[in-house]
Amino acid sequence: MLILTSWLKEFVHFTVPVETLAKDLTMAGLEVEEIESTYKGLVPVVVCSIEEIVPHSHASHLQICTVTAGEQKFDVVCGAPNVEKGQMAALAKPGTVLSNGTTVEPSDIYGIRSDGMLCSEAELGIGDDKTGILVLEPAPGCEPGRSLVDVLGLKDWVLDIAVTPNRPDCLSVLGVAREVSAIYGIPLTITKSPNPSIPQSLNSSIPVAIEAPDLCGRYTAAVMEGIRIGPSPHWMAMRLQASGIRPINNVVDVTNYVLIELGQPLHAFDLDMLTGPAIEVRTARPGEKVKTIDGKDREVRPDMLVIADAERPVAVAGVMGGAETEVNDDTKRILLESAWFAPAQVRRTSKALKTITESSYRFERGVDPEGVISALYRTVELIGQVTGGCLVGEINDIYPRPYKPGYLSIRPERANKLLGTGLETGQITRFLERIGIELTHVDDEKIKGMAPTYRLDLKEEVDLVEEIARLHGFPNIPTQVPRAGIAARAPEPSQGLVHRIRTILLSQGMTEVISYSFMSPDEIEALGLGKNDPRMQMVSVQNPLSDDQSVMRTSIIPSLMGTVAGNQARRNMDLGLFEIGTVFYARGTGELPLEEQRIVALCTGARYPESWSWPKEQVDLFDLKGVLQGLLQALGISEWKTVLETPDDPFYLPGASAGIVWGENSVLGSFGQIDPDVLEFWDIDGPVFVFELSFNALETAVSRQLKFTSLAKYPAVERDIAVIVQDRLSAQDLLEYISGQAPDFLEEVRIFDIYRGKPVPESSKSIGMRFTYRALDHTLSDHEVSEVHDPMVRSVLQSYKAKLRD
Amino acid sequence: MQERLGEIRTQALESIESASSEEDLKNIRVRVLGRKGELTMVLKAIGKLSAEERPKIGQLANKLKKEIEASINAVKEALKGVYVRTFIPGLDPTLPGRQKQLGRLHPITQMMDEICSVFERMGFTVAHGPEVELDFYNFEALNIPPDHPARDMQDTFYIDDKVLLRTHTSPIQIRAMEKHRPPMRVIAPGKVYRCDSDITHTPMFHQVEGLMVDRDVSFAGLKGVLTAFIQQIFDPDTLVRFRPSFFPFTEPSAEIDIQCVICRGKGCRICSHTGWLEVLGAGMVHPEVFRHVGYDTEEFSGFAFGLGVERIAMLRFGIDDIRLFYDNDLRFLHQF
Repeated sequence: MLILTSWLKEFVHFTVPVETLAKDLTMAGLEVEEIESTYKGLVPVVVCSIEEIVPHSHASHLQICTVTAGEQKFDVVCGAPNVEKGQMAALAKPGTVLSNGTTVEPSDIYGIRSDGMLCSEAELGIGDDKTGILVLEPAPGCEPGRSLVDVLGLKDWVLDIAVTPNRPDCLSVLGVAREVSAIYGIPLTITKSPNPSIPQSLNSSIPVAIEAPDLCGRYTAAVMEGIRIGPSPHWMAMRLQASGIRPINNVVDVTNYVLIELGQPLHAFDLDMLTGPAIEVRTARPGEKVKTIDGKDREVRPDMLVIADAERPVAVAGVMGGAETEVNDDTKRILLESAWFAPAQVRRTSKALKTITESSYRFERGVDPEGVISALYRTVELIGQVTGGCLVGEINDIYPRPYKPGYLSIRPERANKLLGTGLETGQITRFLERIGIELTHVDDEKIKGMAPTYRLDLKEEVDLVEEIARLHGFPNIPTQVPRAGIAARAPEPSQGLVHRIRTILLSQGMTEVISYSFMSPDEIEALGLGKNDPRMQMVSVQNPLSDDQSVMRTSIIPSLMGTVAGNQARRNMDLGLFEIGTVFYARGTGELPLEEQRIVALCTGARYPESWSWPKEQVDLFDLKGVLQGLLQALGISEWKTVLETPDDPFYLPGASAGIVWGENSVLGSFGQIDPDVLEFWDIDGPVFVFELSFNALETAVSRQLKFTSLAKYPAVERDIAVIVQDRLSAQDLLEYISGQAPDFLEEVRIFDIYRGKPVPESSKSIGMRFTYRALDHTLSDHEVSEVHDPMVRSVLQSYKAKLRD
Repeated sequence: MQERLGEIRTQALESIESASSEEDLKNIRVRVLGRKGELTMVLKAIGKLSAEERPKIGQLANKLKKEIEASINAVKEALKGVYVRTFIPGLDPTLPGRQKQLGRLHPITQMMDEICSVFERMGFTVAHGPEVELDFYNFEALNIPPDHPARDMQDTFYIDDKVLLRTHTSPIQIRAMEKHRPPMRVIAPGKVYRCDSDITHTPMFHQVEGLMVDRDVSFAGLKGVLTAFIQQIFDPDTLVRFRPSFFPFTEPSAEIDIQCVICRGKGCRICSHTGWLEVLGAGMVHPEVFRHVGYDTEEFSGFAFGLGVERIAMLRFGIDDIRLFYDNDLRFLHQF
């Protein structure tokens, strides 16, 4: 809301500087976001004296004036008829912004350079006169070189106030004035809105009917004749412009002026365009349309309220008037509307039509039902002043549901307890009086009263507590550490686990990313998932910002692919990333989707940072699997294995991926190399390796207690062998076979070498294994070890038709 | 003899002057003053001189001995604190170390952890809730009925008529109060969504919401807790300002500003020349909210607050574009 301080001063005589006013309003809940000086564009304008005038040699209607402003001399080309030598005028130097929005610049006019412009009142936006340049009368202080803004005292400010939705009463000059009055405890200069005697002629009332009294609580109408449409006087146009409203014509401008001044939206119909003439406030009939003044054809639905004449809707109630009955240059007679429409109704209509107007904005928040009629009087008065029109007949006031103000009460003790203050009953009553509460009962236990009709937000005790708090001032409420019981509830177990997972991945050099929970359906398609895959059950957003954010992600992999692509585009090629986030699977309409947490990590690019000391190597599948192993190990999950039969994740390169299973077939997740075809969708240079884990599955696997194992007291014996086996034999199968043999004393088998190539035959490989044997109660002898090791080796060779490598 | 002393003096002083280590000085001392040193030999030979010459040369030689000693000591003092560069062939300790890639936590995670830990120290427990929420929890139970203009304060992403992406983590308040009786002290961190995107808004961002309910919780207590919070997250002497505002689910409601961390209150672009930066919204829980969860509004009172994690992080780290958080550019992430 833009509020002009000079306008505000007409309602309340505050004396503080504008900065103080802004601060005090802000601290009372009306946040002033900006203070802008009006006439800012006129800062480069100075008073000048016209020293010499010579005709322009190439343009007979122009003259070249030499002017002085203080020390400086300027040549200015001017076409005004009233320039005379010796005059004092206003020189707009380059940089001046004129009332039509253009900026003055040095220019070349038919070969003559002009250093600025001599301006008229209208060009400067300080008056209506545009017949010639502004001639300044000699007066003390009016000297060449001085700033015009200073000389004419053009000092005014516009406050940009952020009015919260609970305070529609502050969406007007009057409303802000009431706040200023409450803050400083100074009275309003106008306590009741004006209700002056208005000259009337003839007796011609137009019938008004409200068919939907639930939606329109009050409708008042006045007819005026003898209207002469024209531009508004300068003072009115200037105030409207300062308030952010474009002047249109004198009738429309008055309705807008009263809207800004009193907060009551009004509308003027051209009476001669109304059929009947009659006014009906009713819901729209099926198929009805209104062309509104913004030129749009609107279909009005039966749940929308319209203003209709005898035949058709002529306005969307509370939102916008119709074009056919709009006031135009030929209008002679008007019907003025001032009404109260149900807030929710106006809001629904405004939403449905996707149109927010100054009117709808106020109606949906709630205007003063008692202010409707006084605003109409004010409008009639001003239209009479600026158009020469006069009121015809009685003013129609249909008020089917008169507003009943609610009685409120407040207990001083309760207020003090909620605020932590020690306010006296007297102080509280004074605050209540300042905001216009009519007190009906006061004692230390209870204060009762009636809220003013414009304060629709005051409904219960706590609303008054807030009023007291803000007028007392938040800084005056003590700052105390609360004394309250400790809930001492255990944190959710998942919280600690998320933290642990992050720390473990971090310690392995992985960097955390956070991406949007949105994705594009194309991205999930690019993963090549089957129709029945749960990840195809996407939750769609009705009103996404863009198509690529139109569904909630069912997988984090597309998010990470996007991150890789973005980084590669900036030449960040070596990436070790992870994200822990939610994925969403759709269920029925009206039902919340299934939300699950996923942990996804990714490696691509160089294995080590580029340096003289590190080998230049690229990451492979086992770098990624190492991170995965490290994570599971640090979480204390030991009984997991990889499974090679994973048909569910088609985005992995076949053969270069595996599932991760814990215990009795509980799937923890998967890992693998992303299929190059999938990378192509994101334009990524591969290879890229990814693992994905389900948080829930991980949480189940990790939930066992960690137990200490005593440290071995006796030395271990190690035996190395290398066996040549079929290349197809998986290491995991071989190790499982060995542990299935369960030789005594075997503590660990570690693969220390894999070799393919000569002399190992084709389609075979050599696996080097180190067996560690240890007894808990004595030092093993060579003999003891051989007794268990040798048969185990024989059994391996036999089972896999393997050979020992020399 | 006298000439010989002159020679010894010149040579000794020259080599002392050019000595670059204690080792050198030690060698000079041995050469000149040692048991078979040049000067020692002269002193030993004095006995063979004539009676006239003896005292004269003896005096000169002793004087020279003292001069050389003094000179050695002076240079030795001067050499103290001067390190000598030793070189092992093939080893250059100035080469960069074999540093592994460091992992980093996303700045939002770091900020969120820090914020949560401040409140956890004050006895708050962390709670979570769904990111896709029912309209009821996100709005209605928080005293924002349908068709209420307060809905415009938050541009909402809808899934259908009843389901939406939570616009704040406040629904967790309701869910927590449905589950537990006071005393209540919870904070709810998490992702929230609003349809808005520019230099200060992203469609997804992070909030931490807090709630404290008990028998004697007052606005003064709210000021106490949040002032302590701000002074722990920013500077201990950060100026804090509470000013009235409006949220449908609290009353009285407050917005909390801190003195601009950039210009220290003088007014700059970041604080729109007001000297203040808004960092928190808060207020006393509205009785309507308590009615929704069946809390006795006479018995209990409480306060709630909410803050945007990105906003705090931007102020703390001096980040001027919120979208950087979700670009996940490694050059950005590796700065934190």
